[in-house]
Amino acid sequence: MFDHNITFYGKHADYLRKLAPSKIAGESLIQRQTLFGSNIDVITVAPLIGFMFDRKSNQEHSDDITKNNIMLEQVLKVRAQLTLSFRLLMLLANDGNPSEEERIDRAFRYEGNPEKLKPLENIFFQYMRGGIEILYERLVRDANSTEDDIQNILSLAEECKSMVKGFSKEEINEMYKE
Amino acid sequence: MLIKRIEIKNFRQFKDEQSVDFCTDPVKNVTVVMGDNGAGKTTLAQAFTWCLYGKVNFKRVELINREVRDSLIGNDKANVIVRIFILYKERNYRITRVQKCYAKSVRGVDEVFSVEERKTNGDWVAYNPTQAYYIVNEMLPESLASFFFFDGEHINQMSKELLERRKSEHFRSAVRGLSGLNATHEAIEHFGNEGRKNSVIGAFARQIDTFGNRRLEILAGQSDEWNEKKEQAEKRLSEIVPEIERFSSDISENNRKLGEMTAAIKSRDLYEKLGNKNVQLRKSMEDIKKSLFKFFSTNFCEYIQALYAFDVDEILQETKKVDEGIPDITAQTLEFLLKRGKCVCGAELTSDEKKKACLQELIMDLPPHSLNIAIGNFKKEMCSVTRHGNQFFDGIIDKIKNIEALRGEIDSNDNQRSMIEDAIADQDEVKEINHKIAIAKQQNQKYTEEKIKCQVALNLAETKLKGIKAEREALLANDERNRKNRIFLLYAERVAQDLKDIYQKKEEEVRSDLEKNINKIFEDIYDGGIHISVDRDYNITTTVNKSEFLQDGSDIDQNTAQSYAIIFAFISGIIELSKKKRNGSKVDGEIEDDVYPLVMDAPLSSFDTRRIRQICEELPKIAEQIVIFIKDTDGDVAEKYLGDRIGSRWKMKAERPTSTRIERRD
Repeated sequence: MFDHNITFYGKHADYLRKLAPSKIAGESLIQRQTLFGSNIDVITVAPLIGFMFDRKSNQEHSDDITKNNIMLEQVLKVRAQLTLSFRLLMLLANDGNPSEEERIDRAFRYEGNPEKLKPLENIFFQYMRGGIEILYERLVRDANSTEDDIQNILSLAEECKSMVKGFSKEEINEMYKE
Repeated sequence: MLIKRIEIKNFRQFKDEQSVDFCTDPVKNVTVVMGDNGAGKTTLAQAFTWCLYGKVNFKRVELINREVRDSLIGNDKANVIVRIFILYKERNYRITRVQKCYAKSVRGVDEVFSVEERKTNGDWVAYNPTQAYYIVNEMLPESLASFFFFDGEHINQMSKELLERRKSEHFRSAVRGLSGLNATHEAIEHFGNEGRKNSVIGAFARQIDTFGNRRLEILAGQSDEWNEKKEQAEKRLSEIVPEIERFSSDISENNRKLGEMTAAIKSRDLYEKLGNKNVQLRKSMEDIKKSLFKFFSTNFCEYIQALYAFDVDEILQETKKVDEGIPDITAQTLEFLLKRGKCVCGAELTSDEKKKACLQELIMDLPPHSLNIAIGNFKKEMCSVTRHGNQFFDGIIDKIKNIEALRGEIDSNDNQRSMIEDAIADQDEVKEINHKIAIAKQQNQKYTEEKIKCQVALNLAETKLKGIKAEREALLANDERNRKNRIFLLYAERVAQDLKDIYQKKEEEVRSDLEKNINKIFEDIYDGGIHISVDRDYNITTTVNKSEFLQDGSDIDQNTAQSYAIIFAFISGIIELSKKKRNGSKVDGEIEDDVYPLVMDAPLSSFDTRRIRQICEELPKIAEQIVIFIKDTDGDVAEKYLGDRIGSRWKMKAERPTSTRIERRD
């Protein structure tokens, strides 16, 4: 799992480029400061955002837009985070109305089973693309200045918080105590 | 002096010995010599100057009579002789000039000049050559001779010099001579100056220098050198001091202006300070924004993951699948050990079924068959993520608060800046004033340093000069001769200056007198109407006095008669001066001699009858003795107007072109 290049096409390639600087040869850097320091920071959070806003998106094929390729080397840097997001998503996602046991199996058991894993990965990447769309729409599309960026960051953070049940430090300590 | 007689022999056309006696009577003082053109009137006039001074003015330089010259054969010789008998200071003199001519050399290289005085016993006693020269020049200085013996050609020359403003040194020296200024002039020349070593002053000055020892010369040189340095320093100081004052004043003035602008400058400082602060604040804000974005980028994922921690915990709580396992050992590891038949501890597994069964049971609790370990790891990761993620929101808020605070400060500063904007000083003006002050200070410093140097140089020069002076004075005091010579030099300089003053004053007086005399005489001859002025160079300017006489009062053209009249007037003026001088400088007991002969060649031919009458009336008054050469045709006119003044009459008769005879006509 997460041992290949990850490539985006069409609008997702474009959106990703606007969310984070891309260093593909021959492509000029987007002048305005991007919100994300790197596209790997985007792809780690995007699947959960897609899930949070219930947005899945299929891969686009466009010859007009240059594809946006994240090399394996970069992918491996965030493999642990991607895996964590994958497991969270598999536990939480309702696609196919899985039972509790099935959620756990999806999250943990099929890692060494490509046949079982493939459709799950598809779901993960669908949410990832949906999340990129959401991040683009919320953070980039209508923003014209860093002030807008800051405002958008704050709004998105608050909205995310409001969409998921919040918890205190004590609750966290209780949850994960040894 | 009066000319009593002239004797001539073989002088030009006067062959053999001939003579003319001139009247010396005070009343009948005119001697008329008549002769036609070419008869030898001019030659006779020239005979006087040749005899007295050895000078003639002939185009042909040969003096000897041609007939005589032509008669000379072999070693024959002939003498040209002119002898003049003169009455001077009641004494009789005989002045003789002889030119010896040989057949081969008729120009006569041998010339003998002699002056003899007749003693009471009747003997003629000769003077030695120096005395001879001296007595003749005393009777009538050579420089003045041309005014007393002149011919028509001479009048032309004088006319040119006087009226055409040519160099009139001739007249200047004549005037000096007649007015007694020559001696003064000579004296002044004799005194000279320090630059002329042969003059009195020059000699004294040199004696001072040469009498002093070498040390004095060195001191003189050093003195000049230090004086020059002193002057330079003084001159430079006189230039520098006002500059320093000027720049000091500039500094004060500009500082005053700056003072007046203090409040405005303070506002400017605050304005700039706030501006600079805002630049820093904006940079800080940008930095915080960057850090906000970075914080967001790196922590947003954990934040979102953490948000779901509770939900996944609930899911995991509901399952029973979280069991105990062995960390980091998978089912594949145990299957490998069973297949190998040997445990990691070395125990044999093939024969021990009980051990095998234990391991196979354990396989079911290990991944992938057991998820306990994976879920446990997941939970640990989630714990860490949640702890970090929970700080995300507060972190974002903190940074945004910081940004807002900075923004507030920036806005406040900007507001303050805009409020004081109108009150701030013109930065350019302040800058310019500061620039002026800086330059003035720099210049002031420069000139002050130079002033100090100049003062040091001046002090040094003064000290040196003082030393030199003291040493020089000591040396000079020790040298008696030097001391005396210094006194002599001072006397000489003083006397020379006095003489110069006298000379200048006297010359001015003389010139003024001359001018008056000339005008007076000219008026008598020429009805007046024309004023003659004599300038410093003895040039004559004639101006019309009466407006009706000519249309303008400028210099007028002179016709020949008028020119002659002016010359007459001028000569008369000079003679008057001479008389005055002689009377003025007479020594007690000295015999007076203020009488002069006037020998003129054809003076009347240019005038009309009326003028001739006037001239004839005036001439005898001017000179005590008149010798006048006139053409036969003018004889009647002269006779008419000079009749009662004529003492003797002579007639020149040209027998041949080379021979003229003079005969008494009475």
